[in-house]
Amino acid sequence: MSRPIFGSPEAAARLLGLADGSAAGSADDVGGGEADLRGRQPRAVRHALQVLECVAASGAGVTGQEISAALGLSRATTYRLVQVLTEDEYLVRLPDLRGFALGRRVAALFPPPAPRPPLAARLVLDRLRAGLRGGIHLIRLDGVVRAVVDEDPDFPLVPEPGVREVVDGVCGELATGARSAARGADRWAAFGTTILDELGRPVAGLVLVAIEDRMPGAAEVDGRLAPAAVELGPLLA
Amino acid sequence: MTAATSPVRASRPVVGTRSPVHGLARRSLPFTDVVAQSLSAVAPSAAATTMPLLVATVAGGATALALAVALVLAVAVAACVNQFTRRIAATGSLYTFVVRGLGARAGVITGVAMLLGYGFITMFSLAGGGSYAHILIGRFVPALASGAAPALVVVLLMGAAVWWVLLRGIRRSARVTLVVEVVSVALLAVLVLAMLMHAGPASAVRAALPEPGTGPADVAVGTAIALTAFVGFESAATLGAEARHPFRAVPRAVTWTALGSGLLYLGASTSQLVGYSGLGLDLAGARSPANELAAAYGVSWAGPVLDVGITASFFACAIASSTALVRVLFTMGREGLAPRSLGVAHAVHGTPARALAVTMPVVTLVPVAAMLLSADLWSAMQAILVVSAGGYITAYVLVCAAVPTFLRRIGEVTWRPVVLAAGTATLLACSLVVMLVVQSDTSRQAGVWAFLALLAVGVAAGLARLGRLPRLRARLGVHDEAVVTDLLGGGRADVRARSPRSPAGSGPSDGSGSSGGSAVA
Repeated sequence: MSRPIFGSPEAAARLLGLADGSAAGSADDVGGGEADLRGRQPRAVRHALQVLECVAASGAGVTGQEISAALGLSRATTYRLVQVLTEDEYLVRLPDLRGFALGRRVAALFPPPAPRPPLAARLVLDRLRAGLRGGIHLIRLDGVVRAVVDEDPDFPLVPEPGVREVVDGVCGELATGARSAARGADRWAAFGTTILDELGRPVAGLVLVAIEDRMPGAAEVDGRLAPAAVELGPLLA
Repeated sequence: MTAATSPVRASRPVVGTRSPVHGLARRSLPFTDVVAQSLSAVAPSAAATTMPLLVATVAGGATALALAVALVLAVAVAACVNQFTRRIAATGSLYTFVVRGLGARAGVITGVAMLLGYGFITMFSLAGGGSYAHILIGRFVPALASGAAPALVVVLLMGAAVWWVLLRGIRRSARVTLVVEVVSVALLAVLVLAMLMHAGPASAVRAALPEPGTGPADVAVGTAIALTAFVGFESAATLGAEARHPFRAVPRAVTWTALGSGLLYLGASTSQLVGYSGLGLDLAGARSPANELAAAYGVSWAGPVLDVGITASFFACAIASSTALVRVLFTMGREGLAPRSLGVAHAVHGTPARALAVTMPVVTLVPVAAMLLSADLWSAMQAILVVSAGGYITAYVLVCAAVPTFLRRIGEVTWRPVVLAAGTATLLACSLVVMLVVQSDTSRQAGVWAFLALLAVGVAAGLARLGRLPRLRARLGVHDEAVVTDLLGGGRADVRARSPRSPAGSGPSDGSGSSGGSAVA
């Protein structure tokens, strides 16, 4: 349903828990300088991820010994890996002190998908799409990543040079709180309007993407998108 | 939810919505504050100025060697303690660890030993702070230099200040202690470095090497005495529930403190040895090495500066030690080993308020009484220190001995930690016996007897309570457990919102071990 394609550095940082340092405790993360991956480190990384997979597959309560047996790793190595993952709270030791479960920090690796817009919102979009030539897409701006939640079925986002640039640019500007934004790149053009919540924070963007010479005039596009955005606000916020 | 997508395991423990130690400011302390706790409890600057002299009087020419052996032993104890701190976030520190490893009875012995250790070191540092502050006051206001009244007032004021800081919140107390301790350690490190630079590396090495004619017995006795300077490095383990990343922060704090303070001691003792041999004197005959050296080398202004640092260090030590003391009591109160009311946390500040109200008057008034009754305050203080060191080292022996059984219980035993723990426990037990025997021959023998008597009384009372309440045994060993919101899929949808406390007042009670006093009165 949602496609987290419009990545941005700060979304990636948030994903890794680095952006909101107040919550993640960035002061604790100063573990020496950057080091290249060398020697046996790539294997250790792979093993650590295998441990996480093993806990996910076995369910909460799996013990260190069971992980070691399941992965065929030596017990000392397994306990060390489990230890490192517990320190960073990817794993949580359960109250019996033997078993492990996935910690809430893992949740950052699996952001919940943006919900499908409600029917009322989709009806607004249908009406809007009927009146304008070009792909009109609804993009959530308030999630972990900016994600397309309703793509225009008649004019989908094609993987052509320029499309990503214009959509990224428009969404980036809308997310900062601009009321509307326009971009052009290669032969593509995009025009977006922000959908705000009751406090004026950007919730989503309505973005019209079209080939440059088929793009209607800015006044016409704005005249259509702006009322729709006002209508969509209460439905999405 | 995790349960819906994963196969259900038979032996799966139920995860509650509240930690058994709920009420404390859970997962709130950054790493610096955790280090501050261990560092201040050791009070390295106060120990580094006074301890080389004590070691030199028993170890003679092997002072530096004895200190180095003690350093290795302290780091080994830290490694053993960290077998627990990496796996259990506790407020009861070694007491909880030993309960988990060796069972309730050994746990009671450890708990009593730790209460003696923390309690008497708090008294010692309040008295020490009072007497050093008195010396300082005397320098500026000569009229107040004699008489016991100024020191008494300072002790009472410091006791009240410690109480206030501890009640207002762990963050504040950790910050205060860190600043105080860093300032005094920096002062001392500058003086040590200046002395070593002045003497040159060759003579420093010569002074540090054992003199011919010193035997292993000298080293053994010196090591046992030197160990007392390290005690307290494990006290970060009492902040397991409150540290933000306990399984990373606490082990590091414990190791770094043991290692760092050991290196400071080595430097300080070497520089004192160099300084005295440069003067053609013997360190063992000195009275106040730091002040005498400063005067002899023409930096007499450093004496009063050092006094300020040492006073501050004592104050920091009082804060840190009583922080640990009340958390051990708090844990015992939650479990029911001590009166349940001790397990009540402050509703606003999230601190163990009731345990504070019980302990602070005691640890403040005992040194006051000692000052009023004793003709020689310093010898009374040394006896107090012997009690404290006995308590700490007893607890260290037991925690090392508990490592193998604990690892076997949770099914994570490997040979390395087991060998390390067995070796360390044996060596430590020997040095405890050596220390008690050596001290019972000195003016500090009152401390030895007081330690043995108090330990016996405390253990007897604890074991009697265990025998009277059979169900209590299963309740001991309460620690901070993973709660629902720590788990994937257990909390709210917003994964990054981390509340400092688990949601209070919702869900079932937190299982068997924790139905202690409610935090929200």
